[in-house]
Amino acid sequence: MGPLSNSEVIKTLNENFVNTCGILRDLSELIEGSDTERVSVFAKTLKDNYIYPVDIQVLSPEAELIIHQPDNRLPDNRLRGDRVERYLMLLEAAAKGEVMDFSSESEESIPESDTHSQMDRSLN
Amino acid sequence: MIDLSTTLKNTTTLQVHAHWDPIADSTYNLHKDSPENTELFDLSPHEPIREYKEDAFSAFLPSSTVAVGDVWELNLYSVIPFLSQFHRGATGALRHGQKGAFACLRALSANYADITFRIHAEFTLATRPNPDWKPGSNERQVDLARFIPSQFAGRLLINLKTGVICNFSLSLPPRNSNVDINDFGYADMVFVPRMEILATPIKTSDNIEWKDAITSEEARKRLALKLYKFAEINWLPLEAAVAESEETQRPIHAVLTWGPLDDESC
Repeated sequence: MGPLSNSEVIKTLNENFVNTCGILRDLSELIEGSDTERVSVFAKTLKDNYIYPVDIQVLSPEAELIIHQPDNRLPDNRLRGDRVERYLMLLEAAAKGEVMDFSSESEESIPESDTHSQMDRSLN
Repeated sequence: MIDLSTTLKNTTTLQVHAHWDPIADSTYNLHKDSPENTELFDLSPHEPIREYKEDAFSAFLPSSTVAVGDVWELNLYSVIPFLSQFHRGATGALRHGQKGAFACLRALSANYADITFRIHAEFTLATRPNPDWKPGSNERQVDLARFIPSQFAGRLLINLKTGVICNFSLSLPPRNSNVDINDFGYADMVFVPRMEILATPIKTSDNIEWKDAITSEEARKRLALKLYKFAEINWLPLEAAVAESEETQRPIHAVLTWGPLDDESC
């Protein structure tokens, strides 16, 4: 199981964040078609920073990017607990408005051409 | 609590019609990038009309007593045959992703039971030997061309007094990216506007007075929770998330994907 199926991660997300998930192509529609300018600004920030295929972003209520963590750059020693621990560290930092970056530890991420299997093995 | 296991007393047959629209949109146009793929993904129902004995629908009923809101697991071997009306390659043995099928008693009255269900399945369209396969290698022996719907969502409305099915439908939800297609290793996300099997509804009283009910949205949520633990996260559409973040001053945690997170189309 990935971090999003971990009870502690779920508890942290529900207590400290407003959670949304979406697909890339929907963001374009929200940028151009939303009735609310504020929604367009958030959608544009998310789209501009998106990295394929699964991307995690934490934005402040003012649409400032606090955390940007492409899933395939989340350190992965193929130990599920490690990914959960890192995800919790990111969320705890983000909840305090702090920035944390694991990009330099990305060498162990798993390249994968099959989107389906990558999604299965990643966050959910 | 109610025992629905022996509800379908009627031994008549029920005619079920199948509809399967062509692919209307895609990310990479994989479905028409060669004459072979144009033929492969030119899909229509294997059986546009099929007659089912009513007891076949017992596949969607619980084996023990249930209350409104309860969820039970469906036997894939019993429900997949309904999907073979679309294509003979229907299977519940997904190559990736969350396997399973579940149903929920959404509402109950003195005369009716309304059941909502969700099935994860895919269709093997064609197979061929994998040219890279060697004995002992990690490669798969056979390559597949597959059509992988996000999910099938369904409804079964039963008249408890007569044991007759008043309404049955099973369809692919029409969101804008609702099918993953695989062509022997290449993948694309596509949109199919309509993929549905349904029986002609039998007239019921316009306003059924439910004795107990949950909303369709709540029923869908309970089904999702059986398939994905991450459905416990309070997800909001972006518009609602932006409004709530402004009100509560909590940051927005966003998970962005190429295909939907909460179904099997990616």
